[in-house]
Amino acid sequence: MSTQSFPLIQTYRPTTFRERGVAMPFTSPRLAGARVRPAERTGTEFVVPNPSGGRGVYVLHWGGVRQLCAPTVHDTLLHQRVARLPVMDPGGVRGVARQLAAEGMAGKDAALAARTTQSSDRDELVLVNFLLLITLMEQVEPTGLRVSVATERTPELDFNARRIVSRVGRELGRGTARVGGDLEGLSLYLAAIGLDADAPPARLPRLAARLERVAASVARFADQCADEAFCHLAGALARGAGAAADCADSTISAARAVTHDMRGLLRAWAETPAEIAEQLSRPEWVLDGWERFCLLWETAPTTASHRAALLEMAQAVPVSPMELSAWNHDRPDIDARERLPRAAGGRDAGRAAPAFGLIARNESLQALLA
Amino acid sequence: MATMEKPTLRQAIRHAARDLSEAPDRHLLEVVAMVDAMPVRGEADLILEPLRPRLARLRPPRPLRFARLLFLPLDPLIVPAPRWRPGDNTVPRTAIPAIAEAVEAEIGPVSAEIGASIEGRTTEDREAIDTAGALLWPAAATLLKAQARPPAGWDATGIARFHYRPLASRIGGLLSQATRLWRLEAAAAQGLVTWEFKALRALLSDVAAFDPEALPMAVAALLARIPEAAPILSDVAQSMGGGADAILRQASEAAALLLLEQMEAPGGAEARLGGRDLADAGATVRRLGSLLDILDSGHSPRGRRERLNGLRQRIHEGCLSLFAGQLSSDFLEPLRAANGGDAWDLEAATRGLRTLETEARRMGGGSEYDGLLKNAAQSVRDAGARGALGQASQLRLMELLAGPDAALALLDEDAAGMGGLAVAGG
Repeated sequence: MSTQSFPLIQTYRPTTFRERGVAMPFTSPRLAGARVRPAERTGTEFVVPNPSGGRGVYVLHWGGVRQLCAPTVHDTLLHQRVARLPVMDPGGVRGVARQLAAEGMAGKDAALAARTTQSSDRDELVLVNFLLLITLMEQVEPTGLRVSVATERTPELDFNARRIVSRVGRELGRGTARVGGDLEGLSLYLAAIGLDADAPPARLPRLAARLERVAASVARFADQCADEAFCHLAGALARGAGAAADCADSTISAARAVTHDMRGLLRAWAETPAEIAEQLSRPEWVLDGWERFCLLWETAPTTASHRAALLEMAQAVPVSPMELSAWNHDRPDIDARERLPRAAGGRDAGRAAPAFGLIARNESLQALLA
Repeated sequence: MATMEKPTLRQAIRHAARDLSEAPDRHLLEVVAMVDAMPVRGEADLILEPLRPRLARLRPPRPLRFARLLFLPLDPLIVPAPRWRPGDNTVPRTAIPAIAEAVEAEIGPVSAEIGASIEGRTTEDREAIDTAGALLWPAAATLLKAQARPPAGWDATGIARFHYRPLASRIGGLLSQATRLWRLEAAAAQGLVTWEFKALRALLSDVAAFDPEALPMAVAALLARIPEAAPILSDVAQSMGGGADAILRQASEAAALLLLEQMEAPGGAEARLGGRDLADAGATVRRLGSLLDILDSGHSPRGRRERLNGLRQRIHEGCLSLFAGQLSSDFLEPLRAANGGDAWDLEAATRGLRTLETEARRMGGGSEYDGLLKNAAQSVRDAGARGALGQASQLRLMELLAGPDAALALLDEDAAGMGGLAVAGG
């Protein structure tokens, strides 16, 4: 199968995150770094990095993807289910991928990991919902109660919670049950972000911290690397990853800040839920695709494998859309592939190891996704 | 009444070796572990001598001792002493203990550091080899170059004393670049050979500067370990200039001859069809195929193609036999015993089989592999029908054996006939 019949878009600069698409955890080696986005005529379309490792991307519908390679059964089912999502965002794709992995379609380790993650996601959601309630209570009737994972749920606390939610509901012109539902709706977004509370860091802050560590490690590699081409590549990737981590930190802080005025937040949620959802989902969009970038580096044990990982990281590095500037963030310059020497577009074609090993490797990366 | 004579130690060892030659792999590996654990092996080493081709195939991790570490970069060039000829670009196995003992005695305080680095490690520990090898190989090269006289114990090698100097110099030449060779091999495993032009050029230039006679040995070690490097070897030769390209061409030809003879030796080709598992064996077959392709270049001397075709046939037969045997023992038998749960072990076995088969097809036998895979796929279908496999496992095994389209067709059939597999949404 070849890419000759498809036009290669040399310079890919998406305007918005939605145009950039959502990173798909495909297991087919040729689809590494591919993203999905809604398309009017075909429902979905895919932005696939140039499989040769060189510059540019292909924009393909699923039929085109099938001409490019033979997607694994996992990837076909993932595509089918993602196409049915009402909203195609990173959280939705993550949920679908988790479910598919839990069913065993990405191998043993990914199945076990997905089942564990599904359970911990539920726990985090319950926790954030509780902490959000405490936050609201302390803002409405401050009693010095700590917004903490250690705060005990007592009958007295439950009674006060109902009373305060009811009071806020009256103020907002919404029933108690509606406000409870609103808190649950907000929790769905805030579970991955966490609150300014005494609680373990949530998924996205953990990922941002990992990205920062990986950026520092890649920068050290760049400083010590004797090979000029790899040195440049590592330097570019480290700078891009560092900028993305900074950007994630500030969007996380901005998202958490909305809880500093819970009554205002609930009012805004009631009036313009889409706007709030958009603001709260920014960290997820910013970090979308960076976890695989981290994993490629973190799972490389030797200098040689680090160099190979850099080539894959360059291929999968998320491009930052123009929209980031509108969010008052500096747009990280992370199109590292532009810094690659032409001859160094990827691993040796002659290697041509059977795909089975690479698919298994990709499945093992899935098992490590948070 | 005739009296039974007590066998000598050597006779007893010969008997033991003969018994072991028919023992299953598992028993052989146990004996190897026992011999490896002996502080002083002495005559016990003789037990392993006739079993070396099998050990080469099984590739058990061996304890990292000083002598083994020292000669690790030369591993593809080591031959039994009776096969060694003066001027050969090989290393007679009997020379190893004498040279290693001399190097260990003279290398100085670094010997303790090397000892500490390899203590309790095996030939699987690449990082330990990286660290200790970087300490040992260059220092050993310098020692071997300086040492004109054979070391004590040389007479036990069975090799004339005057052969020592040229042999030691060639070994030294390769060891002087062993760290680079090792790094190149690591890069090749990651598919990064084309990035290593400069390193390859430096390696060969420095070997030539050390001892031009060592070049064929260096090229042979390089090609045996990293056949992927062959395409850039000629570019390197051209870039070296000053007649180096002609020397390198001759060295390559000598290396090709050497490798060909190595593989043509009884069991020589079959011994290479090994590894820790089938995926590893597949990678070996890929390297072997690349090596044969290199030896089969357009300028090959007359008669070589026939010899290479003979080797390909032997490798094909070896691969097919290995594939059919493992398909039966690691896949079909466990599949018959499956009882409806997950089949993760079967997946791992199937992945190994397909990796081996994909590489082995380069040596021929496409229709035979097709037939075996088709039957295996039918077994998966049958196992699914009798409820012996979970549905995700059935799909994944079918995908591995027959491809994603066959697995999706199975999903469609099932959805049409029984309301869909458990894998919802398909």
